[in-house]
Amino acid sequence: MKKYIIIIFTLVVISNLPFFNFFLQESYTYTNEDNTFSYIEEPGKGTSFWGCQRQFGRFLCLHPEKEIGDNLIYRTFTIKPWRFWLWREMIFHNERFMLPYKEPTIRK
Amino acid sequence: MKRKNIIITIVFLSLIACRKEKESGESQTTPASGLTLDQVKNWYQTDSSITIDWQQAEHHQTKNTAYWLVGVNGRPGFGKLKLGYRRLVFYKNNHNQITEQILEIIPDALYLQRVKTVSATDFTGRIFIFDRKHLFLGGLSYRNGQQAGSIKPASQDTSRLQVNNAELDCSWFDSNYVDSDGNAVIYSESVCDPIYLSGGSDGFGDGSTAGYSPVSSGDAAPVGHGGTGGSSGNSAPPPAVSNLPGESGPGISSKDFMKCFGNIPDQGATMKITVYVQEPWPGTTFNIGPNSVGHTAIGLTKINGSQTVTQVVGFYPDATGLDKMHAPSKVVNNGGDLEYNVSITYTVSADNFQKIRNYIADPPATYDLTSFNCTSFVYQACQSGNITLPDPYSTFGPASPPGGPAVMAPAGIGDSISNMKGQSNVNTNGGITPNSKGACQ
Repeated sequence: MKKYIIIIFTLVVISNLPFFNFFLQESYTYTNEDNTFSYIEEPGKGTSFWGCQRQFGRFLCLHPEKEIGDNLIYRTFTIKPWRFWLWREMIFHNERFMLPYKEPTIRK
Repeated sequence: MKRKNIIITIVFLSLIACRKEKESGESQTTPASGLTLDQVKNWYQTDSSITIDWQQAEHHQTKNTAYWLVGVNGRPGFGKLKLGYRRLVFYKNNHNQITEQILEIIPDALYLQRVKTVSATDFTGRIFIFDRKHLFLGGLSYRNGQQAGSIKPASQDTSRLQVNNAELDCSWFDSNYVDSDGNAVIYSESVCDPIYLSGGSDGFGDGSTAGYSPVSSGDAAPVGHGGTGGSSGNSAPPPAVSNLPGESGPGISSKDFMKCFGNIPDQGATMKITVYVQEPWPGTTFNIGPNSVGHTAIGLTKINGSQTVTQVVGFYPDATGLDKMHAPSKVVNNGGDLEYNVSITYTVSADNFQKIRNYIADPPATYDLTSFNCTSFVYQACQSGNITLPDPYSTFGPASPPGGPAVMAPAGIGDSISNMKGQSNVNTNGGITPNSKGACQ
């Protein structure tokens, strides 16, 4: 029994290493209230939630009218807590998961 | 407690096992008759718009008839999604004549997301039926493997359509989709809740439909090859199941991004190409590290007087999970958010700049982690503009074992650029990519 617990624990830890972000993490997507802003976070391929915040800040600078009433950023991805390989992100980098959810617009 | 659970499980399984098999919905009976593939081939008149791989033909036998299913090219679009696949069915009608119909099978997107593998027993979605001249005949809608409604060509006033064998609470509504030939199909769909109690044929076709049922009698064939990697002929497989539709995120239209450079005249302009590299493990040649696999992006800048346009883009797989290894590609805006380790800049002529623009505007359709990745894209883009980048090759693997296969990778090109430290066009201090202008119409 102890052996299985160690194996499972090791599997969870290894799968949560940033080395495997590209393979295991999904492309997180974000938008604003009226979908005039959108962002794709590609973990393991250069982009991050920090980049999203930075881009949204720039967007608000370019569109000051959005500062009033539409200055929230929404996640358009669903939270999948059963994906144990995302637990590190959910625990230590949970900002993106704390955002309010908004249905994604269907892409072409 | 454990024993109680076991008993409950057994009772539950027994109930499932005792369920009467769903009737196939076939009413016009035709004696089961043999239909060989050679007969079908001899009878079939080539349709130039359809490509058939006869090697992948599947034979099915139901209580009433035998039929052949073959996968064909083309993919319908439904609700702005390319979803589903197309098949041809051949069977003998009441008059013992071979008949052909085209099926466009479109699973419900959320159902596909949930089950990952389409099967006849729980199929949820729509099946559209066309005759051999691509005339829309009608169709069926399914929910959890049971017929939930029927589909007919839309009329001017659908409220006057006669609904046979439908419950009173069935309702019709008009909708549309784009078939595999790219034509818009406008139809009326009847949806009954909870189940459409059809007592007979839906009457599509020429009235002599022999009674094959696209998703009945345990025949998983018409809808059964999704996601399992089974043989599917050359029909388009269902899309990879990952997240909800749209969740993997659309890329940008690189064509629209490249259009912005046309707004600045070439005469007197300075044009630069910059390659930005985020190394997987900065300072090493490892192909995997704290930055996972790393990334290579390309930046284009055109300056003419006070006018400046910069676009920074990268090449990505349009998939999630392990599907990223080999997937359709997308181009993503990397402006303003990529923390790179090294970069290298080249000044190019207007002619070469245009060639690079053209390459990026029409990127390769497929991403492959080893054979054509983000670094390959940037390398090829630069090659098209007569720029030869530093050696981008790296031995694939975390520890770069000697003798391993070499691939273009961020680790390889990043290391080569780092080795050029001191040159005026090389930046080894890193930074953040400049903002992109965005799309232009």
